[in-house]
Amino acid sequence: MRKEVPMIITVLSALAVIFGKYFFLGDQSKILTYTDKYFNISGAFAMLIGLISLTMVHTTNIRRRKEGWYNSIVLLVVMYGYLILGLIEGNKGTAFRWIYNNAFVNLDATMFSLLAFYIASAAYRAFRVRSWEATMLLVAAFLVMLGNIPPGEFLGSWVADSKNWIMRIPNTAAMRAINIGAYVGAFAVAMRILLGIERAHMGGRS
Amino acid sequence: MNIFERMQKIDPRIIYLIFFLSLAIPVLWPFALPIAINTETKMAYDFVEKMPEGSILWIGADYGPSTVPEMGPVSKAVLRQAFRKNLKVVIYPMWQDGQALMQNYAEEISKEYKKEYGKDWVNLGWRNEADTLLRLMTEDIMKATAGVDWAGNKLADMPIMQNLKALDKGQVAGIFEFMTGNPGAGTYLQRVVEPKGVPMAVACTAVSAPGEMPYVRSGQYKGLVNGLRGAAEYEALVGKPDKATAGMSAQSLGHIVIMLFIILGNIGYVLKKSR
Amino acid sequence: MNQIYFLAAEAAKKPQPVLGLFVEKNVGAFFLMLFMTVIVWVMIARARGAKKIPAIRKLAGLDAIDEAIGRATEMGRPVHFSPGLGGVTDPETFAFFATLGHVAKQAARYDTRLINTHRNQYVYAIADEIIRQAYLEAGRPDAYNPDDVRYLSPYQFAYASGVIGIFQREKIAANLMIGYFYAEALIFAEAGYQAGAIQVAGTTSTAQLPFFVAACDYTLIGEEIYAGSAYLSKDPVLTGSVVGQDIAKIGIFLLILVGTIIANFNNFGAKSNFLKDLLLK
Repeated sequence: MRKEVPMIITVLSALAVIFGKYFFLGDQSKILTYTDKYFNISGAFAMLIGLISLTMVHTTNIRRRKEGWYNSIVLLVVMYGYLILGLIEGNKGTAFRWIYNNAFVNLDATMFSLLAFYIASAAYRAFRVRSWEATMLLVAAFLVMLGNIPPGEFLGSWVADSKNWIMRIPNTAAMRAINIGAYVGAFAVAMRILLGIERAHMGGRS
Repeated sequence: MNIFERMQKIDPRIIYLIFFLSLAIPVLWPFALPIAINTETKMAYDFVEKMPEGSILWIGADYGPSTVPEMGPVSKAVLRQAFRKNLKVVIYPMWQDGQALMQNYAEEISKEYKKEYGKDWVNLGWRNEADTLLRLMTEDIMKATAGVDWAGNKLADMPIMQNLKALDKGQVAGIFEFMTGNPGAGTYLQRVVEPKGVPMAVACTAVSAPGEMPYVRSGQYKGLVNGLRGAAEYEALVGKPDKATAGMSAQSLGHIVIMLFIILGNIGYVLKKSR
Repeated sequence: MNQIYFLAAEAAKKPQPVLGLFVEKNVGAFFLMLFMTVIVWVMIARARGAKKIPAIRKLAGLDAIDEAIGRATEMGRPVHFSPGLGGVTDPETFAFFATLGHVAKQAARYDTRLINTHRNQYVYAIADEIIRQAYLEAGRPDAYNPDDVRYLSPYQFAYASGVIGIFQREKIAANLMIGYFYAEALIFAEAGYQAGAIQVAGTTSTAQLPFFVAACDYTLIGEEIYAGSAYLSKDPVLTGSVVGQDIAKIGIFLLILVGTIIANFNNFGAKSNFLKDLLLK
């Protein structure tokens, strides 16, 4: 029953969502309202489980004195300290907001800024005229980069026009194709799960 | 290693150092550059500009601190435009960081235009599985939010909520979605724009823009503000140049440096091949 | 005095069923879903009945997975596998699960260390079970190391910095990335390159695909990741579902083609594009 019960719940939930979304009777009976609420409640439990999981992983690191175990102490202190501060002060709390605005925002932005440097080295390495396709890629990249900066406009309106054409026509076509393929693929995966063919997530083989 | 091989294999640390300088110097000493306005940005600006005075602009604050340099300036520019036009602003974050970030910007800009919280603007606040709640918002906002805003204040006591019961075409003039990922504009498209017919314009990071372009072309988005460049254009349209406009000098020099490195690498590649 | 914008007529409209059964604007979508369901089901039934079905074409990225594990075995360095930032409700994560079983079994067979990092606690729990099961099936339960399946952080960039730390310290030889990725994609790819790893990546995220194409050795684009379970296991039923999805795609392509022709010939004299109206009913 360990595998059958989750499958039954999955199929019934899927049928409920299909009924609520496509059929008038389902829409009027507000089935989706109930499924949304239950999903929301289960999501809240997921947050709690996330907190518990992190605590367990890092307390194990500390107990076993694994490599970098002192970082786990810092993590637990900061995590629970900020949680308690938030519970006491609420969203509007001065210290709560100060820590968020001055520490977290800047740290997150700093990590994201690594991407700028990685893009520079990846572009330098990848954009070589090895073949016709690679050359076309290189030319397109140059036109879009030039078109996105004001100095590109000094070269003439053809730069912006080329960039806009690339973004609006071939890019749109390619993105549509990839998205359609991805969504149809996702649908097939959903079908496999509903039919019980895909069972990797339940600990079994597909 | 001969010179051509050296040109193809420059140490990444040298690239990083030169690139860092090309970004840092203009950030510290920005210089002005004229900016042409893209059609998609103008469409987004006109979308908000055409809203009647007093109507509700729904703002989706769906980005995190990592994309603040791109999304922050456009958020402020749109808020300036909305408050100038006396629109009522309702902020709904599906990202927990979006709640705090947009709250910061709205507090700052509302002071400029002397707008009052609860009367002229409100932050509905983030909740867990906020994307699931979005569908519930289209039926009953009070149910979806449990009747409270981001700070726990009662929504029923706020004048702005008196004529706003649900996120639908009859009550909301339009949505301006600030997105960097999922949940984002796609979530609004599935649950609000297509089923309920509420029009939407989108501001996104430059990396997301190619993926969002099909929706502009099909008319599902009423406009698209693309990255830092789009934010600078929007600031120009609103008439108040700010950080995005200043950032264009850094972006310009950065792009030029990357292009020069690519050209150098290719010169080395071609000359080595021809020998 | 401010005017409150309120379309009374819109608000007062009561919804009506279409064809007596369906919700407005959802009829076309329902029949499209039904069409795709039938196609996939038929192909699965054909496969189950041992009838002939088309084979999946060669996918270099999936073939390269075995090559990557082999390379890691020769060098005596670990393989890293990441599912990205997707959760258990994302289909890309299922593609990861399907590939993980195969990778773990190969790693167990060749006695290669497999490090699997996670950002989502549910995905971590499921992946741990999959790896444990794979080692058991390969006859190497002793080689399974639970410390190599790591739940790092639910935050994107905390997870990213944890992973690049692992790349540097453990000196990985192969980096596999299959799932839904966001901005950390290029961080992983560049860090993997700098660690000297062979990299195979696959995602449906259109924003991150260009970075993978630029920085990785092999890239699986879009729905190719869903073919992973069928391609690697050679299971006919799974292959049938992949064939079904491809036939559904051809159907959608034909719809687009017909709609484009109608639109370009001015709707053949009709008031509007009748195919578009039918689909959006």
